[in-house]
Amino acid sequence: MFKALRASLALLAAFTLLLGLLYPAAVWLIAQTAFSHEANGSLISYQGKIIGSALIGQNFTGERYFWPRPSASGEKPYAFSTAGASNLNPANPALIDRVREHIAVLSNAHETQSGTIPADLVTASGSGLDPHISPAAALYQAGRVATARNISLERIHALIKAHTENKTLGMIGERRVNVLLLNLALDRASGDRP
Amino acid sequence: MNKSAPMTSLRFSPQDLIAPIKLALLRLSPLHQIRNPVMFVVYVSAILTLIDALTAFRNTEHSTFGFTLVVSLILWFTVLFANFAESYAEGRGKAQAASLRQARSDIMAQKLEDPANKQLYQVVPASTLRQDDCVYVSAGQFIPADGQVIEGAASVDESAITGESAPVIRESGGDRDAVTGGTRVLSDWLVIKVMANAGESYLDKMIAMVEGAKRQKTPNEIALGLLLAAMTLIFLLSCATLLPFSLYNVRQTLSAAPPVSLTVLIALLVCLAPTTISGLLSAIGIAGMNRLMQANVIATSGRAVEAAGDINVLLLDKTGTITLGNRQAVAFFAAEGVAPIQLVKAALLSSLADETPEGRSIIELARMSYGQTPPSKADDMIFIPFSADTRISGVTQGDRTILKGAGDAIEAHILKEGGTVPPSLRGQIETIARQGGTPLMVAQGARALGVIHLKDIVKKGIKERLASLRAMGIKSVMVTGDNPLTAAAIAAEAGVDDFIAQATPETKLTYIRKRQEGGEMVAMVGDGTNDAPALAQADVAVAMNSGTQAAKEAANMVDRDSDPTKLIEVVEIGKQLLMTRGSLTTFSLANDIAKYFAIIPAVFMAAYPAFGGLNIMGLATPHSAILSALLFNALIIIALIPVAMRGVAYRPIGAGQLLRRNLLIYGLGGMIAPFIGIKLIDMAIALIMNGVAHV
Amino acid sequence: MSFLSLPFAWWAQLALFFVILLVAMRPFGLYMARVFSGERTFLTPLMQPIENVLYKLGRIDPHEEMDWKTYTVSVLMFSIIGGLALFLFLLYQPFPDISADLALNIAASFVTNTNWQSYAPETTLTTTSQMIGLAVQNFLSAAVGFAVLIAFLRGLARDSSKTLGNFWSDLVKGVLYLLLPLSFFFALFLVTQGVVQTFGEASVVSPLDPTASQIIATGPVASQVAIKQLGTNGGGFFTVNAAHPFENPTPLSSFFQMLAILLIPAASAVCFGAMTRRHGDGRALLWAMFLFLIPLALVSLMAEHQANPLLKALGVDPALGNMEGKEMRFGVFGSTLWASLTTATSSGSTNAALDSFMPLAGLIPLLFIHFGEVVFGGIGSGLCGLFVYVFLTVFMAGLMIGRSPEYLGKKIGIFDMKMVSLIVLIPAFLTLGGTALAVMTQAGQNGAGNPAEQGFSEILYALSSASHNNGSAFGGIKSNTPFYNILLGLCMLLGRFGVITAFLALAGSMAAKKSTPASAGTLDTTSPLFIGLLVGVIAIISVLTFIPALSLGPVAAHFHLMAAGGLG
Repeated sequence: MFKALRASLALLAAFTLLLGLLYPAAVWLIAQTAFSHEANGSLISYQGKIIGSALIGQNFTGERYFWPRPSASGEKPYAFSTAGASNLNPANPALIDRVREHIAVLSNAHETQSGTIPADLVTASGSGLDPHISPAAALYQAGRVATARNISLERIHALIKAHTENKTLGMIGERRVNVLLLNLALDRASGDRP
Repeated sequence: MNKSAPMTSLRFSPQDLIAPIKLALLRLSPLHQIRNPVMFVVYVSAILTLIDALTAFRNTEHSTFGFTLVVSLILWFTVLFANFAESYAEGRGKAQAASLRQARSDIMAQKLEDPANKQLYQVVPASTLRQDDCVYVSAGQFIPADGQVIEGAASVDESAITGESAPVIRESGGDRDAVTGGTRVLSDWLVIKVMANAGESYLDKMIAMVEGAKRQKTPNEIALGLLLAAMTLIFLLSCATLLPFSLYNVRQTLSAAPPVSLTVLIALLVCLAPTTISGLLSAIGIAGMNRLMQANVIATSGRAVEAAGDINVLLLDKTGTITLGNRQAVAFFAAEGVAPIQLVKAALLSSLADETPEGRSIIELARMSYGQTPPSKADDMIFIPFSADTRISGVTQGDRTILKGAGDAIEAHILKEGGTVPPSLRGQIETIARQGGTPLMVAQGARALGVIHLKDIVKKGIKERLASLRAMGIKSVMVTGDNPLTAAAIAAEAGVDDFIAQATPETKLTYIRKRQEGGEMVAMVGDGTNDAPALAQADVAVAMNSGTQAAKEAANMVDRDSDPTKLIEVVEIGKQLLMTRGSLTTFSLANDIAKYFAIIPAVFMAAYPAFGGLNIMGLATPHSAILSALLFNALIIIALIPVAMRGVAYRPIGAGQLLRRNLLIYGLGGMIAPFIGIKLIDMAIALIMNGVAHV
Repeated sequence: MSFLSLPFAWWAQLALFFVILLVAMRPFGLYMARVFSGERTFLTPLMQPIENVLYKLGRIDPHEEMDWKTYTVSVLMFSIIGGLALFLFLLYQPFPDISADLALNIAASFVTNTNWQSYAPETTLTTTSQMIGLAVQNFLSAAVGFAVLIAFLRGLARDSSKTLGNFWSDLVKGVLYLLLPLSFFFALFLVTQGVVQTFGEASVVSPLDPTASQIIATGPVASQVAIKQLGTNGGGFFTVNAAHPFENPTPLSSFFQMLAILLIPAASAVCFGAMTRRHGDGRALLWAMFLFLIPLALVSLMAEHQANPLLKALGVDPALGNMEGKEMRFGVFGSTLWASLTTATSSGSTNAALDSFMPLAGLIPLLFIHFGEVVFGGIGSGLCGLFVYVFLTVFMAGLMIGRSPEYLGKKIGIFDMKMVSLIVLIPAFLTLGGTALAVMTQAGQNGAGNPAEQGFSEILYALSSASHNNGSAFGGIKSNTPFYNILLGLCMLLGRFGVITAFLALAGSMAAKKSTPASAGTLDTTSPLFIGLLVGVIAIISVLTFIPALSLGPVAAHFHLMAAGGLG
């Protein structure tokens, strides 16, 4: 019993040092040396300022921007500290009400669109930080953005196409558009910053 | 002479049922029920539902009362059916044992104060005899207890035990000193030392094994019982927690449907619990012992019977088991310069007085192959009987002496007389030995005439039996006193897997130990006192009833037919015992699938009509579905009593095939049968309900 | 609804995934067998010196053989000390809002390899707590589980032996030769995909759209995610676990994390075959596991492939399937397969909200848990659990062919059946008993986050997950309350150490047995028939146990949804 106690304490202490400090430090060292952009959050700068992370969605609401998916991150959509899913089950009336609201807002803003609404635009993601929307969801919004920015729809479509990420090896993952990068490209194309 | 005549037939008569039914009712006492945890759960459920029904009656909830009462009744019958299965099997076993026990119950014994003084005895009931008491039994009296003859010799009628009508000799010293209680001395007298206290003899142990209450459970049975109890506990858990789950669900969904009722939960529990196998478990064990008794084998422990099913290695004596007890002459080989007919005539002459089977077979061979009829005995013939010392027998007529015997013995004789054995003859002797035969040399005076080839005749059908053993995964090992050369030849002919040649008690014991160290289970058959150590070492040891008391004590089974191949039957009975338990457990569990399909929709349909989609049997109403499942559950116990009694058929096919077969019958069958059964019962119930409604 | 309706890319992905797994697991399994048989490997020159230092520190003789009792005492002692240290560490970390019951829950959760998280790590734990508290236990609890498996395998492989090896040596080897090198390289791979590994400050964003202001927090995530997946721990650095872009940024990172989760559990079966020289039996177990994994994963894929009928009725395009709670980059396939894999194994990591799954797709993770975490299961504990079902199957099949049941030549006796029963009973009892307690009390009822049947499912899921040491959740449950923290904490501890003790007792009993050579009468435990029977026994026992509860949860929810969607 005492032998086991002594061995436990010694190993726990040694492993805490090895696995709790040395191991992450070693990974950190190599990561910071070889992949410093990725290791620090894939941050994007524009005009000398960090405008966000290429991996993290943002709560774009302006007319001139593509909108991301709804975020269930509490009071502040796309906030890091409260990032989360809605956890509403499919039959939950709260979910139905929320989707109905979103549909109303979307239809209102995209009066020219008459078909079905892309699912990702009315469903909240698992993380509350989803940086992507589907190509269909981008195309759905193209008209609105084109009007707001006063650029041709073709231009917008070309940008969407350019920012559509394909499935890895043609099968892994979904085809998707990074909203922040697309919006950044829009701003770059317009050469402005509000 | 029917060697394995069953003592009672398996025929069915209504009278057989009355006693078991009485016993089944008596065993409704909680003290008896608690011994079987699964059935105890049903028992408690029956009581609870009865209370529930009575409460409903007092509160004048008539519809609830009716349903609950019927559920309770079915549960009571489930318990009764299980009791009945046990008491019925027990009744069968007892009937078989009774005739044996009766044989001794009234016997009076002449107990000797002093074994040396046969005149001074006291007449006491046999049942008061203790171990080491000595009794005097004279002609016409019954032997009062199992024991060992310490003085005297007598012919004994053992037909009551063995079914063998010919009397046998029992005498002190040697291999024929064991006597069994209940047999009768026909001539002369015996002084017997009692070997077992009254109530502890083989027969008593056997009888105890067919009485449910006293029956010692075997390891596999205990393990299975544990598993069944654990499963019942799980089902108890999942049914008991369904009540709070249902209450919560009803509140959350604001459903108007009532939560699950206690009666329905109990019905669900009883249906899911492995009642079928639990109800029959005891009966299966008893029935296994019954089958053993029918095979005329007495076992002292159920464990040994079960172990018989696991045997990897089987030790068989060559003589009497693999070969016919006696060798037969198959050919004459004359020496160079000797006319064959001269050899045959000499051999005939020397065998005239030889009454051994070997001797007779020489005469037979001479007649069949050479047309020689034996000359009649003449007065001047002086016969030299066979003795173990000289290993020679023969005849002297006038000045000529004809001798026959083992090769080396005759050779020694010839050399002594100044003759020689021609090398060709010596070669012939070796050839015969290599073929597994026994060479008998015939000599006239100092002249070697030739050799007679005596051959061990392998029993008909033994090869097939050994092959079927191999299919079961059992290796056969032949035990013989022969030299390795001879043994190898016979082993090859009979198809045994291995042999122990020049076997002594030590070599047998060493062989068994070696096998056991390799993880194998060894069975052996023996009869002599010198077999006792090996018998004690073997995992399954069968002693011949004709064997010595020491052999019987060392063994864990006694074969009253003294049939060495009986072990194969014992193995089958052991396997059957396990297979019946396993198959019925599988059947019982497989049943649950159909029962779920009957009960789950019935339980949840009120709150979620969509659960009706699971009612694939199209059962009439939730109540009728529950009652049908419960009734099926109760009736299947009765329906399977014959299977439990008879045992699941064993076939010597490989394990894989056997498993496939039993899975198909009891697994798949167990899944399908209740679908049909429950549906039929439901239709019947619907019919009755309609009838009631119309009236 | 049919298998054929699934997109071709899904099939291709499934095929690719399992092919890679099958190819990778073999060398790993053989390597593991070498390590734990004390043979030299390519890592020996590097690790041997570290090993020796550790032994010296603990005054451990790595060659001292332990019987099952000593082995168990060592396992329990090491886990108690580890759990206690973590508990105190969390309680006295500089973050203010951690209650004693929460600290207890977290400590129990990580020391049992469950990684149930009733808290939001972002607001509850410091980076230091995560790194030197949780991540260390991620390694150690996995290594403990693996050590138990190794002891169990020795029990099966040895003949008439009293001992099962040395726990300390198995623990140290598990960390140094297996988990640490794998984690190191996997962490680096994750970094290339965008998983962060930094001790830097959070970045305040100057957004393009003023409404999009954001503070981006980071941390040493890659090193922790690597071991969380390889060790089937599953506890996220962030609340949303593998749905978080910093934990799982790309489809490729998701794909390889799934592989990482399955790698060691699958390789363990190969290791078993190698250690007992019964490769066929190892393969048989793999077959049984795949026979559960693939069909059930397909069922849940089909369920999620269908969109929520209630949303469809509102005019939402059903093409993407049920997207609520899922990340766009993973889509329905990447999220649903993940859910199956992380519940089949005891990982419990999630990259989507299980609570928002279609009821039938939510049923599948529950089923995987209810199988007893034996379909790959947790590191070590999963295969041990599968052996328990193998023993049950062997018991039934053995009786059916008329032989005393035996596995690998060892007879299954009364004591073994007692342990087997205990191992099946303990998690079932904790799950159902705990759920009953929760739904009967106000404190328990308050936990339900969704209405109607889903609330019940959430509670059932929480208790199932904790009792079987999975760690995933129907996330709507509000479980950071004293009631749930304590109840679930107890379930995790009993579910882990009660079962481990029984495993080791079983291992000790097996080791002591003599092995019987096989004959024609021996049950072939590698035949398709046996594999089928094993699958049947696992399915029947767990389904029969949990069907009543599942009926009131996901099954009822399914009917409810179908009725509401006008499809019922």
